[in-house]
Amino acid sequence: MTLARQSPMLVIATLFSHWGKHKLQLATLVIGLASATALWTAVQALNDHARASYDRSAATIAAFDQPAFARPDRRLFDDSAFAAFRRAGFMVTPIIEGRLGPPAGGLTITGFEPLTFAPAGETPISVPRGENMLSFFDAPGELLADPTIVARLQKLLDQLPESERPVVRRQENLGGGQVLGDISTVQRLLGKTGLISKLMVTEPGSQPNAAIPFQWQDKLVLAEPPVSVDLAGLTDSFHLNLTAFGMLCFLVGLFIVYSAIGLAIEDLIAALRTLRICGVSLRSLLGSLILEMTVLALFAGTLGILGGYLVAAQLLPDVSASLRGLYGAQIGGSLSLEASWWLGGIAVSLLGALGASLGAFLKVSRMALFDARGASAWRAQQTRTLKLQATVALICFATSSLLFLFGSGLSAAFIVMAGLLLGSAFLLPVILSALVLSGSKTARGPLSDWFWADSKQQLSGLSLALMALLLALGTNIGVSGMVEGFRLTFNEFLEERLSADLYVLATTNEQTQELMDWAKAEPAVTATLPIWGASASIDGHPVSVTGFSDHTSYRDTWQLLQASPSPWSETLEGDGVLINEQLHYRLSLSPGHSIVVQSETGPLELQVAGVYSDYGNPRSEIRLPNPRVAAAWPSSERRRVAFMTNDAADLQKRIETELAIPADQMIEQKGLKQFSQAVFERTFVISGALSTLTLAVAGVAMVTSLLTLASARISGVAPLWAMGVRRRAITRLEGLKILMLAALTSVTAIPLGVAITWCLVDVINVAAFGWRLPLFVFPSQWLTMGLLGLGTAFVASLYPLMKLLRTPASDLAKVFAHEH
Amino acid sequence: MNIKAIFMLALMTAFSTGVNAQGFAGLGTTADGFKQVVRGKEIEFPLDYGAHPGFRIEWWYVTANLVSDEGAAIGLQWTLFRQASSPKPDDGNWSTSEFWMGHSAVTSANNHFYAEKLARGGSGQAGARTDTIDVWVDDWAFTETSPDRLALKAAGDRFSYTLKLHPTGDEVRHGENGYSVKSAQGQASYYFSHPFLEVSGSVTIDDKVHTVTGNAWLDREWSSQPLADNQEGWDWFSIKFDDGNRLMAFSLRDTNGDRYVSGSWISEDGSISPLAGDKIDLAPRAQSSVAGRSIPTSWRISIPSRKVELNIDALNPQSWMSTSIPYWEGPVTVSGSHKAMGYLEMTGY
Repeated sequence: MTLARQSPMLVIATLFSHWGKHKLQLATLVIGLASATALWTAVQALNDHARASYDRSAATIAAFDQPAFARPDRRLFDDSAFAAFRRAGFMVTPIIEGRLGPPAGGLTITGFEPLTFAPAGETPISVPRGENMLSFFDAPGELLADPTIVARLQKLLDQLPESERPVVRRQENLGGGQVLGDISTVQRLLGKTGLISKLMVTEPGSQPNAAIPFQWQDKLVLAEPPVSVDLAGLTDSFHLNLTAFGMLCFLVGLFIVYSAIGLAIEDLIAALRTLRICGVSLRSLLGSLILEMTVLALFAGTLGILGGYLVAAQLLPDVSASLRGLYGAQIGGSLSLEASWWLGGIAVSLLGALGASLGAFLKVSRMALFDARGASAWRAQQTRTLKLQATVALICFATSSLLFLFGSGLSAAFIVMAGLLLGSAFLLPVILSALVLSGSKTARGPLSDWFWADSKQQLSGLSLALMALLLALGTNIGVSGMVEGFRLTFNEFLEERLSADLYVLATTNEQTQELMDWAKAEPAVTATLPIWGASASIDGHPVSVTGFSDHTSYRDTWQLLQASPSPWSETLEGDGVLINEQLHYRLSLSPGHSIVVQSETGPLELQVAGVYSDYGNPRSEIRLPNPRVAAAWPSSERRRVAFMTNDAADLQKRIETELAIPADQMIEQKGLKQFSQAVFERTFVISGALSTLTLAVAGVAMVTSLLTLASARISGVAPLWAMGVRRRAITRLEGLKILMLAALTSVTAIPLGVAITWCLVDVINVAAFGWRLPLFVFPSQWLTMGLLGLGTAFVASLYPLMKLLRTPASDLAKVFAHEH
Repeated sequence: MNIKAIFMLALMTAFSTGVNAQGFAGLGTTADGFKQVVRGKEIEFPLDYGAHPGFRIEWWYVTANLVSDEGAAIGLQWTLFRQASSPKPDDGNWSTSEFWMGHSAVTSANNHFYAEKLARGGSGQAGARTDTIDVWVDDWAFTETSPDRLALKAAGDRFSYTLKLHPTGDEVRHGENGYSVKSAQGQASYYFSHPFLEVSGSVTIDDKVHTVTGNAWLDREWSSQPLADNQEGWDWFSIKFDDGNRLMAFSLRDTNGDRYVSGSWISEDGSISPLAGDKIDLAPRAQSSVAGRSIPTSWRISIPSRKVELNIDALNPQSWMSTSIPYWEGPVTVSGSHKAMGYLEMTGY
């Protein structure tokens, strides 16, 4: 009774002394829990960090995207307009926008006037006040910069004489790769003294009734801000993708925890039974177990959060690069450990640990005080488990199929994939069991019989680790299949799309005209293809408008995914329009449908004539002939021109010298292809990195499971040893068994991987990015993955096998000591 | 003196590079390189209505006590401050050797609306001619339209006004012929007023147009270091008696709790008599809670030598200017030995 009263402390002491004796078990438990938490935290950290950056960026952009008076052709105008408007009662503030440095690698810079700059709503721009104000105003002035681009900015400024070099101040909350400065500083840096881009209205709705100042009446018009792109919405799919991988890693991590706890309980069960016999209540015992698990989860959770931070910091540059390349979204460069992560990480660790130990707790609560189980009871148990697993697998597949047929959206797509993964994982033991059973029919002789029978018995213990391996291999095969397939498709797409030899970005619309006139008289130019651009909307959905010229390079090389009978002539001569695949999916538009596009000159009714693929473009887009773009959007941007020529390098040089268009505003086809390929390689860097991490975690799961089994194995192999089989031979057989199971798992992973590739290219990519890729399979990758799976199993089994090999004969003999 | 203006320059002190601001709003900051205020300088009209480049600070300050066509009392303020951050002239191109700050307000017994404008030199957004009254910031302007006609206009979110001002007397020079001492240490400014301005025009409050008439008081003051470095706030009064006389009085409070009191008695005919600190007593009578502060919105003014005993009460005790640097400014009613009306400004509370 004394013991019962003192039980809590005593029980806890007993439990902890177990860990003291089994340090390796403790280590695997902590590693499992910490790595699960780490991967989860890393993904959360990346997502949070990126989203916070979008918010800041959107706020900064919104501060400058207000209605403004500007020239219809967007050229700069004299800044004396500012005083004229202010004196007429217009609450406007002058803004100059420009590009610092070369167009490729340069930075967008915005000059504003702090005293009259009063953006609507909250803004992250902290206008300097007090003593700092003068150094902000006075030459050389100061620039406020988003920390991500401070280094680039400094490099550009270093080209200036020191006395003209503004001081760069980091503004943490600015976001979006922005550089801001006083209007005078930015005018000076851009070489545009006395000029501004627009007069932004600071108090919309409180404009005077008076007309705009006489001298500016025919020159400036009040323009609404462009439809802003919702970065958060645009990048949602990217983050969901990350979250899904984070979840997968977390689940694989929990496999480790589950098997580590299973192992511990297995070892502890005798001690726990003794405690119960001594009078410790079941409640007290379970309470102590939960307390113990909580302490471990807190410790492992803390490690996991720190690990997660490191992983996130490691992946951040790639995530940033992907987001910048894909969406033009700039995200900040440094992570900070935030309170929400700590709480979230610890919560995840606790929930994971308690969830994974639920089975163990149940086992303890149902534990008979006196073990009366027969040694062969496992067979009945295994049969029941296999039936249950098969049922769960069927349910997963059924859910997956139903959602594929009737669901929509990215979440549904991920559930389809999750169903596929989980279903396969649960089906694995059933499949392996069947394979082992058929293998046993090939058995010749007692040792071979034992091999198959023992493999079957071991299945239930190893199945968790094998499931983890299956998931990791399947995901790897799936993701690398998609990435490789994407690369093939994209290269082909670039070949088809980038048919011109030199792409030029003129500085102004006027310069474009000059360039095209020049090209007319230029024999080396075989074709001039201007590309006009504008922004529009369809039912409030923002779309880019891209113009094209009537040239055979379009008709001949562009493969339309869907088309009306004569798409090109309908578009060039009638009211047809070509839409990109993204728009096709987003607004469910197909050839033959009518759309109303809001243009600058009013609504434009058009007929969809064809759908073209547009990999990598996050935005919806329509294509119309240039003359129609120019007519409907008088202020359209007319600065891009593509040329066909035999010698692009020579043409580029001549344009540079004869028309004074800087070399960095031109790019040859080859360079553009390389640039595009680099952007898209980045797109899947994160998927690749996370699937590799998953494989690593699966390896750890394997080691843990094998360790769990190791002690049990002694009683399994002892009869063999007693019958004269040498320990070395037994160990070899054991290794062979593990490799065989891993090989079978790897083979099973192939169809799963192909299914995942299909799910990614046909379901998830369509929902996430708005484009569908053709499905490719890469058998050489399967072989690599299969070998990787075997390698993982081999490495994971080394330690447990060594342990078995070194088991003293006395331990093996002891197995028989208690036999009746 | 219109010391009130000095305080506004607090914001502008911030613009003074490389110096530690001293005194209230940095107005005690020494002014190396700027022109200095000296005794004996002759103030000239209309020339000195214009701007004074070379001096660090100056202001055009108009307050008016008006009556609407419905008989309601309305107070009105129009102020423009110029502050130079360096003695070099404004060279255009967004120059920041000068900054401008405008305040305007309309106050009735129940309402007090105000607005603020900030501008930098060199953009043309705000400025002043150097030879006459022609000052502006945005669409607020104070301009001489003809030799004896001035026009004044301003607008805020819920108010606007357009007024004509017509002089009925001459300007008066405070202190020693315009040399106005502001502290026992001898800090001074050039300071003159035009206390005899008849006003007519319209004031719009919440889209309702009121025709108004009344009297305005114009202050012009310029200096490069008007305050001592320990002066922290002041109370300033301008009183227009029904018998045509005028009174200007101020009390500057320093960090030791001492006061520097001074004033001018202006007769109906425009003759001016300085009032030294021992000739005039300014005492708070009652406090009001305004914008979380306790502010004396009732005062007693005693000038025993002239048998003046006045009770001063704010028309609207909540006449708080929550501008870049907050202060209290509003019309006052006067009772006691004489019938009068006037304006009160209180800073540093």
